[in-house]
Amino acid sequence: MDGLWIFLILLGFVGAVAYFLYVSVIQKRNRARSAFSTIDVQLKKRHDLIPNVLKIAKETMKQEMSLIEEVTRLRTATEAPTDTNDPDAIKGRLEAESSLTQSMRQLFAVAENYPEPRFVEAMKTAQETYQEVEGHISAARRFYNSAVEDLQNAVEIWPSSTIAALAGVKAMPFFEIDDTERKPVDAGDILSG
Amino acid sequence: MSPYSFDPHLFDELEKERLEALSWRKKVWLFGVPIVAVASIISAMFFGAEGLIAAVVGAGLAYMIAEFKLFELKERMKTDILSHMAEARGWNFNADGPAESAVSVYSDLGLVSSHNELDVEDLFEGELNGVRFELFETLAKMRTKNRKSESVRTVFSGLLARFSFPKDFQGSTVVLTDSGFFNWAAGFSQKGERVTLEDPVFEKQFQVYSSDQVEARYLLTPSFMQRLLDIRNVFPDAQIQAAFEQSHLYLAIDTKSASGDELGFFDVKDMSKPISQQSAIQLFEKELQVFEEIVDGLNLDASTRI
Repeated sequence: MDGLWIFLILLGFVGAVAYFLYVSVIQKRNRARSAFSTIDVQLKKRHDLIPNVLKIAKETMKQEMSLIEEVTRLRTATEAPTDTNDPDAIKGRLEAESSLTQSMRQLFAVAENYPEPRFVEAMKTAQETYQEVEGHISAARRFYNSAVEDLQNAVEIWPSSTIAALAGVKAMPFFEIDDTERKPVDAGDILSG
Repeated sequence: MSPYSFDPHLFDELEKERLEALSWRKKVWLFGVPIVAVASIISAMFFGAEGLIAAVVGAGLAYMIAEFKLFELKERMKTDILSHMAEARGWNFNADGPAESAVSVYSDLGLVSSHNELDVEDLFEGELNGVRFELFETLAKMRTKNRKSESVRTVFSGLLARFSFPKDFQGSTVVLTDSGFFNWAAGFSQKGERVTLEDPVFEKQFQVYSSDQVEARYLLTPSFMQRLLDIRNVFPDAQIQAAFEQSHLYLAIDTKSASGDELGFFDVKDMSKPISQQSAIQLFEKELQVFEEIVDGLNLDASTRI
């Protein structure tokens, strides 16, 4: 009889630990999803700004039509809703957003070489607004990466890794900055290319 | 060299008063000490112990009479010098400091610990790099009593500064000095949750709490974190804490370990030297420059993101 009680107590203890681990893993996944939604809101703000920037650019930067078209293509590609249950879909979306960031930086860098005062003024205002949004995206990205790191630890470190596998919780991809993004854009390179 | 130089004759009147006060003290000591000594002997002879007590009181009075003018002048010198320094920068100076209630927001944010005794002075107000600010010195103490004894503990002695920005922050973000094992205790008193940042050096020195995880990272950019770390180089023994709330950045520089139990900034320490050679002027200038360097370092430009 005593043995049965010990077994039941142990079973209860293991069950409680497993439940708390399950709660913790799910909380971390939900936190990472919520952080992704925060990025999504900021990226949407950026998407809304891009048509205005392109409108200004199209009037003056007629020689840069390929770059303008590239920005338009990337913007359209990143507009589709992302399935937050699918890490691969999130990864693809984040990579496309990184490409869009890089193209926008190129666009602003090239725009600096156009001396028309009205254009310079309009582009300057657009760039300031854009950079403000970029600041928010950067903050959201840091929050997202922090949440993803917590989730990744839970998914990869035992015993929570076992619970995560049973619950079907997978790690989510980091929103990384490309090496090219870290470097300042050289407008000379772009123009000569 | 300071960009704010002074007319060497600006303080001529004060210098004259300083010499008069020193001369007054000399005279009091010269005549007062023998008079008190003689009076003590006579009163002790005639009135015994009571006479001695009267002599001690007399000596105390003589000391106060001797030092009174210098004490009064010391305060006036400080006010005059700091007023000129503030004026040269386009700021306002008030030696009395702000209302004591100005400290309550710092307490609410956890930048100044609980206290029941407060002393504030030396308020500077103005604009620096396009940002409105106020800076003042604060001494906060906690007096506790029980049946057997009474104790007083200094909880804050240093500078408090507030910078105003043209836009509101959505949440409240507080940067506290890391307390190691006791960080959990700080967490209890904070509104938001812990924000873990990427910089390991910053994480070792500070702990951050915020009601908005994204905004905390928007405000605490890697460069801003580095600047907060840099302030530690200016005040290596001080405890640096900061908070963002509504449209303000609050900064608390607690130097209590360096200044002891007294208000340590902006004080004339040596009245024996001529004003032109007063270390106080250089010291005040240095203290204000340090503050300006901090603001420069924080890059609190109203036109930028913060």
